[in-house]
Amino acid sequence: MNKYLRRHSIWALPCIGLLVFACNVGDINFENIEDPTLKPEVVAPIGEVTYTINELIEEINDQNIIVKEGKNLLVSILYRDTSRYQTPDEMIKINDISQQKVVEPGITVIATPVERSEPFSETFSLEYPAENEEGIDSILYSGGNIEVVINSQIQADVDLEIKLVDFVHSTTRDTIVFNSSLPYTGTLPVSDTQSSPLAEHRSKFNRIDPQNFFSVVVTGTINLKPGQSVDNTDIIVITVNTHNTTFSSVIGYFGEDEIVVQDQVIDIGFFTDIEPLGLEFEGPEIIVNVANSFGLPLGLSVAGLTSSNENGDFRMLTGDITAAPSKLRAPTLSQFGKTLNSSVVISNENSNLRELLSISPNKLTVPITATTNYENVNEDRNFYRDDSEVVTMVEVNMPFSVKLDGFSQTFNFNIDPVDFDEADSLKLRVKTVNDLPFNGSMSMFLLNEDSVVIHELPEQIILESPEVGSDGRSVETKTSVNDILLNSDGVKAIPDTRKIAIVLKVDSFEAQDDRFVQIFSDYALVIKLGIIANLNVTP
Amino acid sequence: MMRNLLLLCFFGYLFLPLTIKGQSGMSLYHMGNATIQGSHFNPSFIPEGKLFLGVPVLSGIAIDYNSRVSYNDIVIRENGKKVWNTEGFASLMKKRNYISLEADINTFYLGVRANETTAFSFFINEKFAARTFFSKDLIQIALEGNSSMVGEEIDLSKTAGDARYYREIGLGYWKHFPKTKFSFGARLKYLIGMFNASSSNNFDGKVITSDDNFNTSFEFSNATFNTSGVDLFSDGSSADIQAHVISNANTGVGIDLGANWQINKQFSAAVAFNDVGFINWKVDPKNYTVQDTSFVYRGLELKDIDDFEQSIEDSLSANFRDEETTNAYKTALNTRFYSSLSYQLDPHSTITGTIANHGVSRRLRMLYGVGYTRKIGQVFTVTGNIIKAPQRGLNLGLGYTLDLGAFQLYMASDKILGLGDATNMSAFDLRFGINFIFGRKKSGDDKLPEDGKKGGENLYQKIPLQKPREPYEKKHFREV
Repeated sequence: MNKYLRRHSIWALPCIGLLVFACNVGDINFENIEDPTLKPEVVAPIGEVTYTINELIEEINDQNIIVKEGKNLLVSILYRDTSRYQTPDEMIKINDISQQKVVEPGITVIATPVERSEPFSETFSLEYPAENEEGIDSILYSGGNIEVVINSQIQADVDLEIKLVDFVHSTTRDTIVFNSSLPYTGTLPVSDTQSSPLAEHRSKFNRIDPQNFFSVVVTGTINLKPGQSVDNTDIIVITVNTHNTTFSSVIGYFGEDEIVVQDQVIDIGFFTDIEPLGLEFEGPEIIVNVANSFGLPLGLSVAGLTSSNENGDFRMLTGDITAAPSKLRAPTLSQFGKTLNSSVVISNENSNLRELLSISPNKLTVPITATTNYENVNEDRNFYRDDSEVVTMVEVNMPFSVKLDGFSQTFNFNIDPVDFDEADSLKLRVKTVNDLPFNGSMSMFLLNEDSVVIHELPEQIILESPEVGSDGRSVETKTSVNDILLNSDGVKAIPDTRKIAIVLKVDSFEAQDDRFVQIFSDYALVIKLGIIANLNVTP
Repeated sequence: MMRNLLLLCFFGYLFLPLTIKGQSGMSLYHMGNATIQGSHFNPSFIPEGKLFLGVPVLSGIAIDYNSRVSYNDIVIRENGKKVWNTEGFASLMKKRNYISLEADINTFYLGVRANETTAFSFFINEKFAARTFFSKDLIQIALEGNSSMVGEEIDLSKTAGDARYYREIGLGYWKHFPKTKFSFGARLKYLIGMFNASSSNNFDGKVITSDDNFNTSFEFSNATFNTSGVDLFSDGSSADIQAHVISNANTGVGIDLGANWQINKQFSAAVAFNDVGFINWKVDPKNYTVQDTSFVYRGLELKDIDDFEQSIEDSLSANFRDEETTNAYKTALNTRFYSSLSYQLDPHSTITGTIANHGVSRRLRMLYGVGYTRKIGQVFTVTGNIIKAPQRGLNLGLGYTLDLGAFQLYMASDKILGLGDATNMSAFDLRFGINFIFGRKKSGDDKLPEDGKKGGENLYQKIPLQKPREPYEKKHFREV
């Protein structure tokens, strides 16, 4: 038996070991273990945004801005303002008239024994004045009345016919005639008033400088009864009045007046949030388009045009364009009722427009004045109709052929307090996929509630410009990936940060060589943001 | 000839490990029919004896834990304080990892051998298993962040989790065919599920983070996580839990099938499929599902953001549409497969080679073992094994039974190297218990060859060869 046990005792030890296995199991104790501090580096996308130039302009949020795309896809921004000038009174003012004429029949009869009639007639002219003694060739009335007031100083019955031979119905060609009977009843004067509407009547006038005249033919009969007398000094006073006249058209020569065609203020929101330095448009224009249906040549002056910005800075337009008025086309009499268009272009070539835009104006004041009968040396006749107008459309046109040289823009973001202490450092990964011929760098500043900078991130390139070919277009899309590091000091500053200021500096391609670059509508800028966070987490 | 052909087929099958499944508990398995617990591995293993009784609860307790890290790997001392060693934990991870904890308690076992060729059993077992599969990438992301994964595909398809506790109540049947020396066993089990939390077996997921601005593409399909009974255990009253544990509507069936063939005098082969079946989880089911999706998360559209956090939430929820339903669901049992070939060196010693597999959520955990089992007298049976288990490398396994009459004590472990220091153990396997086996053969019976069992059905019994007696030559005669 002993031999047997000895032979197999080799098995005994491990079997006993099984019985006493893991005698230190009590050492496995999960209590009082300090929580680990994990320092994972986590990456995540924040988001992305794609901008075409149109969308970038939309971000300006200017209701007045118009984006125009040329045939070659070159983008322009426009501001337009239209006004209508419908004030012919400033060209020629015709008031109601009141003209009086004393008619002397020149008949003497002393105590006629029998009834007798003594005819008489007289033709005379009355003035039809316009302000500034401007000439009127004819008027077509659309309303109003013409009135004849007769006061007879003759002690006998009088019958009168007063014919306004220059006032003719435009359709029937009938002249205006007043017939009046003035019965003498023992008291003087014997009066009568008659009136006729002027609508659809045309009057024509004789110009005897400096006045306009119309003719009146008076024909009458003095009906004497026995015993009545008339003296050659007896008179009849005829007064012609017009009331509430309105005109369908007026033809004449309206003289040379200064009129204010437009005095408008154009709000330009494009520059509102853009700092003025560093942005230059190659070929901005202000185009004044005029549609003129007055038969009156105009000379347009833009000399008073100014730009002003929010800071109160302003610039006044100077240059060749302001030296003399620009002549606007006007319809001639043979073009009666037509509208002729003219344009006046204000550009860098004929003005200091670049200077006006260099102050990033938010307002453009356009007091456009015009001189009537400008350069009308032949005194061609003028006219206006009741629907005549001068329509001016001022268009500020800024094609995106620009140069950005040291252009800097600051974006401020207010943020709520953030309790953020779980990161050692943060990196903002900025990937840009860029068609725009711009290079850009970014600086970031963290500001506390007193707007004091408590941390600053150094300037870093985030945008690289593609090469620009000879055709003015970007040769290829440029992609760049850059990390902007917010170190531990920056992370510690986050809880006290109330505002983040991002300063974006942009230079256009080869701006240092004074090259302008064009921005086309098919260009896009894709900005993709990601974050790399070195966290410090204690679960 | 036929026998050799079968032998060849068996070996061919044995060495196709990628198609085969297996499981731990190799040392106990290599003791064959020495214990009634052997029938848990192969129902054709029935101990010698007539009546088998497992002591309630103590009859069999099995605990198996497997991971890559030990306590000392994850808890270290710095300046006299214990701290979590997250870096060490991450560095020990391989491309694919899993952690499993399994525990079986044999609540009751009663077996009866009706005759030499037939036996029946009735048993109740409590089975608990929790397993999780994960990649090193996931651990790295959790502990070190995802920056090192940028540009790489993170394959989540191998990520899974499964925790379950259920009871099996079963009947076993064993049959021996002496002519063919073939034994067959089957166990039919009625299952009662206590709780379950498991991910979908079909889950597939990929995550790729781009290296420019970290846009992240997600592809998910069949992302479902089911639970049953979890709320009851966490929030229910003790009376509710008690009633639930006794009986509930989470029911299922399972079957174990096993066979053993004595190929010739030296070789025998065994094969078993265990835990083929399912459980329907109907009690308090919850299904958390993320709809199939494939999208690239690019962050936010940075135009017109009013509320940054809300925008992120909206953006993610728009792509990850989750829903919670309460539909009953079914889980398959974690099927185990054992295949072994034994060579009998002598009547007391056997060498056994085994390939085993434990299938969990359609994942194969392979186990390889070679063991030497020795019966020492009537009292002691011992086995020593070299075992290759997942994540464990080669290890030494040991098991023994101590039979004192009907009383049997057994203990086995598949990992005894390092067993003395619990704090350094990354894996652990121990099975032990007390059985009563009545009606075993008397001493000397076991010296008979297998086919010559006492009381067997053979007409003739083999008698051990004895030396011929020398001729007696009387040289000296007593003188009278």
